[in-house]
Amino acid sequence: MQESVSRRQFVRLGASSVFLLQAALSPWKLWGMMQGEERNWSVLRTKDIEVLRKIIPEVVGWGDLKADDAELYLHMTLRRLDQLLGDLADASRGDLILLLDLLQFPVSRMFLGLWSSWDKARGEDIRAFLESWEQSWLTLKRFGYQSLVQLIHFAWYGTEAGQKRSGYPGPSATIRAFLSRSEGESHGVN
Amino acid sequence: MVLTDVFAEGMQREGWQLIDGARLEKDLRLEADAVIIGTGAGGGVAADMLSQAGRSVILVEEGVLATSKDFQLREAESYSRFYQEGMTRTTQDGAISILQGRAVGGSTTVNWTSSFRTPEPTLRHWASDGDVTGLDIETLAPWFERMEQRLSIFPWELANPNNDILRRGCAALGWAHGAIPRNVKACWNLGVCGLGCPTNAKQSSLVTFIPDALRRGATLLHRVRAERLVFRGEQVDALEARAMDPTLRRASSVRITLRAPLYILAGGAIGTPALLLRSQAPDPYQVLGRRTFLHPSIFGFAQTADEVHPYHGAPQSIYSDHFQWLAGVTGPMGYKIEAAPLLPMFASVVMRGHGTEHWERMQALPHTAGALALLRDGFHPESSGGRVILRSDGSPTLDYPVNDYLLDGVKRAYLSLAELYFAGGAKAFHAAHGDSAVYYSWQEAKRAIQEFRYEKLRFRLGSAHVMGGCAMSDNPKRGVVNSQGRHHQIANVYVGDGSLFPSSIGANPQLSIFAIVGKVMQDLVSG
Repeated sequence: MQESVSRRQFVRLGASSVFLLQAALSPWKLWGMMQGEERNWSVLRTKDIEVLRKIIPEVVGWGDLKADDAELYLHMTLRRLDQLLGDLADASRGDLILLLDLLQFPVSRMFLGLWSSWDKARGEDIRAFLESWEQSWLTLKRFGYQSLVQLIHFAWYGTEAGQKRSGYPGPSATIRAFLSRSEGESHGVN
Repeated sequence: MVLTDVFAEGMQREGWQLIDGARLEKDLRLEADAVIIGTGAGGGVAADMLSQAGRSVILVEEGVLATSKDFQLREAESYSRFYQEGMTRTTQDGAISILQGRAVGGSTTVNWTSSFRTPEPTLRHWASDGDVTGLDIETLAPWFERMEQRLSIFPWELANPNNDILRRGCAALGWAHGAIPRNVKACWNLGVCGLGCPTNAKQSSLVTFIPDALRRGATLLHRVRAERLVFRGEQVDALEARAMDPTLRRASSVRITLRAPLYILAGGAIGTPALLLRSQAPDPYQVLGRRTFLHPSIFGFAQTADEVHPYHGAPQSIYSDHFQWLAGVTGPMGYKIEAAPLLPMFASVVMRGHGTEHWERMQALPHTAGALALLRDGFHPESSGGRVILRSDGSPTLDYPVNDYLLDGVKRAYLSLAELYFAGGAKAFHAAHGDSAVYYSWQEAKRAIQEFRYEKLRFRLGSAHVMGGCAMSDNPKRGVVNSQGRHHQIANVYVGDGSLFPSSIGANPQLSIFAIVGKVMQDLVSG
């Protein structure tokens, strides 16, 4: 039952931070609304995207890419991630959103191991922070690591670019002709 | 050449009764002789046998009706549409990923086709330890034969390189191994079984039992979620269900009420206990949803000189049971070794890790072989499995503690995979464990694996086989149903899926479900 204790701690940490979070996050929200970005995402909030833009390259590890490619890959990964979060059970999505909240609020962010603010965090800070989560003696942090890293990998390797970059050539040639022919057709049963 | 679509043709030519919940605008009430909840291995067989016995049948499926034309072989789309929680389902603490299908045909629509008979030691254990009667190997043999014939189950002799390395390793080490029987007919050997079969080669419930039942007039409701059973006295009087919205993410406001004198629960070993829990079904001995088993599985990878293309060719064709019963049925945890096919999304997650190291491992995918060990849970006093519980919104989750007994099995299984791969000619090995580096010899790997930290959430544990939770037992204190599958307290409710099993199977469970549910349904219609 160790884990449920950790989960409770997780939730308690979240609950105690809510008031401060709301205060801290309202400028972000306002900024997001001004950007008009929030309408385009189904689950992710503008403030989540700021954090994820920093984390994703360090999780996927694509290293030095041309600036245009990096931006494109990031965008595709964020879009897939947003769709993926919609597939999650409500409870799991709630956990993820809470985790993203905690990553943004300075006190909880420091508790989770990242000392610098997101806008100042360098790649090496984020790598050290991911490493500390992965290696932590707290199941809470390892849970956070596994959930977040898994979703980011799922998102990136679910994109066409991600599939290609892994060297996967796609389905065997024997079936491809049938796929392209039937693509978009529907027999109306679903 | 034209690939036929079983459902498109059946609807057009034979007027099959299909109702898509997402398209319903008004509440619906239907009656039949039997309501079957779930359309996987168990629900399919139940529909086939009850309709054959002349009973009118309604099938209820939460997932989408997707058929050959819908299987476009894109990982992201398939996982999102055809798996529970978009393939992100885990145990409550996040430690074990659970792959379960959610579509017409259930997991049989997206599984990897491995079809083993229930091992005899498992059946003997159920009889001696679980008060199960009438499920001995002799009684079941004709059922296995019947299902093997119906589903075209034969050992697959055309091992792809991802499987062949396991065969070579086993042969070099003298470990028992064999070819895996698969339920396929005229298989194109594409390797995309986990995304749905675009050629109808896989003999899933989707293209066998369900079409047969539909031809006999069964009604299939899809994108409809079974919410609760309504009781009148000691019997179930109705099933209350809700239509799903087109995305399947939530139920709509359309209500569906189904009435029948008989209810067969076949929503899988998380869904079936959850339905009974939501319905507040009688559970005087606190056995409902308990002893739920997973075959928790660990993963290891080999890097090879030649290209393996671990995503092409039949996913699983070689297995080894060398360690399955080695220490006895009830000793330290046994395990079955099989290949793990590696499409990129799936590979990226099972490999675990992050950053440059993970990137480099993914870059090497064409030269990577994947294997898994399925750990046999539920046979030892320290392996009592998990418990299905309901969240506040009524959705189910599984509380499955990862204990030292299991972790001991995990460690031995990693050692076996490493030894096997090096014997099979691997250049290097790494485990899906946060402490694993890449190792270049068996000796180096062995030393390191012994030093890994064995704690949950430090390594990848997965499951594609959820079993138990409504166990069979003639003793009502031990099981939810009797050895004939009938609920001990509710006379008109039968369980017809993998929830029936008093322990895990010790092999991929689909043929066990097909055969045992077949026998249960035969007893029901002839009794």
